[in-house]
Amino acid sequence: MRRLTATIWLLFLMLMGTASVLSAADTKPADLLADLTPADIHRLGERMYRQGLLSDGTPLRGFIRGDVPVDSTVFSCANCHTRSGLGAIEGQVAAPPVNGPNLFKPRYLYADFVKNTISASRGKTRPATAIRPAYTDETLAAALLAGVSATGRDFLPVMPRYNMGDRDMQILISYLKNLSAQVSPGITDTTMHLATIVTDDVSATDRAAMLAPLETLVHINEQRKTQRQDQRFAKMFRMLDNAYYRDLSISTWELKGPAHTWAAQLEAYYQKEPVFAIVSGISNQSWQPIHDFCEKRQIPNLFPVTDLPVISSEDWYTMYASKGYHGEGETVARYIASHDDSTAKRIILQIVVQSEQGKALAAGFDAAWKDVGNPGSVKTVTFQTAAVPDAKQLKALFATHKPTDVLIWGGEPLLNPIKQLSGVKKMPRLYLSGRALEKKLNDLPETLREKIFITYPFRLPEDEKAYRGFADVLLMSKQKVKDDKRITSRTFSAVHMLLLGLKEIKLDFYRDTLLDQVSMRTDQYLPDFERYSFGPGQRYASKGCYVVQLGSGSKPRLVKRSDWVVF
Amino acid sequence: MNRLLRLILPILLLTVCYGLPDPAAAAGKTYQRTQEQYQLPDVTLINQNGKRVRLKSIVDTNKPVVVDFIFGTCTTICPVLSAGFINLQNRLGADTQKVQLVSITIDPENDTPKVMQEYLKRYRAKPGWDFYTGSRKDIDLVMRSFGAYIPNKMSHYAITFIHQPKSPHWIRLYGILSSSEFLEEVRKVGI
Ligand code: HEC
Repeated sequence: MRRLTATIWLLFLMLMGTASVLSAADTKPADLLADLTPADIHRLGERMYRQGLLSDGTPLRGFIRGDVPVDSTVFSCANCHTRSGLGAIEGQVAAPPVNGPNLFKPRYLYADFVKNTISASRGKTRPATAIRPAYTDETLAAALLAGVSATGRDFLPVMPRYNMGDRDMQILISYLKNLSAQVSPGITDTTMHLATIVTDDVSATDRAAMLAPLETLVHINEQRKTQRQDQRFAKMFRMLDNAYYRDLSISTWELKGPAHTWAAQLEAYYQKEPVFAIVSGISNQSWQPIHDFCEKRQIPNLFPVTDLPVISSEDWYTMYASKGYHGEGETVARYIASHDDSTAKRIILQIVVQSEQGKALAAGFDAAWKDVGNPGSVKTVTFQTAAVPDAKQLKALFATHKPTDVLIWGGEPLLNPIKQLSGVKKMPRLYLSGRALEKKLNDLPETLREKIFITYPFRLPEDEKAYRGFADVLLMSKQKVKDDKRITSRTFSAVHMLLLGLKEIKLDFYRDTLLDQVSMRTDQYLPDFERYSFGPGQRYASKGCYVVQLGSGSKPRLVKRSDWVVF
Repeated sequence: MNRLLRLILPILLLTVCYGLPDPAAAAGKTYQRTQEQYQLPDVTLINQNGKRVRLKSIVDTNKPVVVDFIFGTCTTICPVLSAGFINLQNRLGADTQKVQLVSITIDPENDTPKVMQEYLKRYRAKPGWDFYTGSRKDIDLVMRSFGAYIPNKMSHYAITFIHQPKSPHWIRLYGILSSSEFLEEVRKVGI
C-alpha cells in the first residue's frame, strides 16, 4: 500500500512540473482598469485582500452571520483564508482555498483529484464528477456580493457578503487569479533548494553543531530509496512523507566581514541559487540584516539559532524560536510589576553593558515596563563593553541610588564583580540573565543566592532529560557532535517544524503557504523551550521564561519563582 | 444598477430555483440553545489593562454577562464571534452598559494584556467588553468548567454563554447567531 501511494505521489510530482507552467495566470487588463498598471492592480488587490481597504482607501464593508455588519479593516479576507489564500480549518469551519488555481478549476473530492491527475498522465480521462464547477468572473462576483457558491448553494453565514463596485471587484478578482498561482522559486521537478546561514564570528565547533541536523536530514532523504522498508526508520519516513519525493539540497551561505555587507553577500548567493526557504542558521551577532533580506526577498527563514532576533509584530518571513534576550528583559519587567510592594517605594537600577546582549535585555525590559504602566522609577546606567564596572563601582551605584531592584545586563564579564558584592548592607534584589550566564550559574556565591533572581528561558534541567533523546534521532547518521549550547537541538527543532510544514503544504509549494501552515500547528514539545506554540502571524514560538533562584551547594538546583509565562 | 449585479442576476435567479438548500438554513436555526449550570473555579484572570480580577467577581454582578472564548490571532471563528459582540454593543446603544461582555482567551501565552488591548481597539469595542487572559492552568480550568475545553486553538468552535444576574443558570449557545437572534437571547435574560 505504501509503495502504491509512493508511486502515486511520484507521478503527481512529475505532473506538477508541467502544472506549474500552465498555472501562470493570464490577466488581460479589463476596460474598467485601463488606467491602472498590472503592478497597481496587484498592489490595490493585495491591500483589499490583506487590509480590507477598497481602491479609494475606504473600508470594504459587508455582512456576516446574515445581518451583522462587518468592516474589513477589522478582519480581512486574509484573516480567514490566510495570506497565501490556501485556506484554513478552524474547528468545524473551513475557509476554503481562494487562490487562482483552486478557484478557476473545478473542485474534486481529494481522492478523485489524485486519480484524475494520474489518469490524465496516461492520456485517459476519468468520468469523475466535480463537487464544484470552476468559477468564472461572473460567478465569483456573485459569490462575493451575494454569497452564492458556483454550485448554486448559499454560503454559510460565516463567509461575509460584500458591498463593492465593479472596479473594485475586478481588482480583487485579478488579485485572486494571481494569488499563489506560481510555484515559488527554489522548487524544481526533482529538487527542493534550501539554504542555511553561518556568519564568520561563529566557531568551527558551533558551526558543525548547527550543520549536523541539516546534513542528517539530507542524508536520510538520500537513504529513502533503500531504507524506507526498514522498520526502524518507518516513523521518520512517515514524517518526511511529502518532502522526500524531491531531493533536498541545503546550501550553506557563509557571511563574512561586517554586518552591513551581509545584504550584498546574501543577494549574490540568492542570485546564484534561488532557494525556497532558509532553515535555521547561526550567528553571534544580531539577526537584523538577515531578517531584513528575508523580508525584502520574501523568503521564509525558519528558526535560526539566534538570541538576538528582530522584534516586530508586523514582519512576516522569519520565525524565531523565542524573543531571545529581549524576552528575558520583558519577563523581569512583568515579574517585578506583578509584586504587591508599593509602586512609590520601588526604585529600579538598570545597569547595561552596551553589547548587543545588554542592549537587547534592556530594550525588552523598557518595552514591557512601559506596557505595564511604569510602576516605579527606573534609573538606567550604561557602560561600554571595554569598561565594565567593577565591584567598587557597583557598590557606589547602589549607595547613590538606593535601589530596591537592580538589573545587571552584562553577561559573563560582570560575574566577578557580582561575586564580590557579598557583604553589602541592605542588599537589593539582583536580576541576571540566565541565558547569558547559563554555564556559570554555579559560580554565584551561596551568600548572595537569596537575593539573586535569574531569568531562565528554557525548560528546567530536571524536566529536560526526557526531551534530549530527540536530538539523537537526527544524529543517527553517526555524526559526533560537540555541543553544549543547545545549537544542535535548536536546529533539530527547526528541522522538525520544517517537516511539519512541508507535510501540510503537500504540493502547494508557495512560501507563504509554508509559513501559514507552520503557524497553524498545534503546540510542539521539543528540546530546550517548554513549548513552541503557534498562531497565524505569531513569530516567536516560545512565549515563556521562568524566573528562578539557585538552591544551595556547588551544583544548585534551579528553584522556580514564577510560572512559565509571567503576566 | 450595478453592472456586475445585472450580469449575475440570472445566476442568482437560478440559485433561487435550483439552488441546493443550505444545510444550516434547512434546520431553521444556525445554533443550539440549552440551559446549564456550571461550577466555576476560583481563579484570578488578567484583563486587557493588566488588572487582576477574580473570575467570581467578573461573573457575579447584577448585569447579564455574556462569555465567549477567542484568541488574538485566530482566523475564522473569532471574527464572527467578536463581530457579534461589537454589533450587540452598537445595537444596544445607550443600553450597552447594562450588559457585560467577557471574552476569555484560549491562547493565554500569546495574549498578553497588550495584545488583548489592541484586539479590542481593532474591533472598536466600547466599555463593557473586557478580554481576559491568565495562566494556562487557570484558563484550562475555566474552559473545562464551562464544558468548553479547547485543547488546541485550531480546533476552536463557536460557543457563547449568557448568565442571568443572581441565577445559577447559564444559557449555552452553540453555533453562530444572527445579530437579531443574539440581541433577543440577551434581552431574554433581562435588560
Ligand atoms: C470570517 C471569515 C471569512 C472572511 C473574512 C472571508 N471569508 Fe471567504 N469564506 C469563508 C468561509 C467559511 C467560506 C466557506 C463557505 C461555505 O462553503 O459555505 C468562504 C468561502 C469563500 C469563497 C468560495 C470558495 C469556493 O471554493 O467555493 C470565496 C471565493 C471566498 N470565500 C472569498 C473571500 C474573499 C475574496 C474575502 C474577502 C473579500 C473573503 N472570502 C472573506 C470565510 C471567510
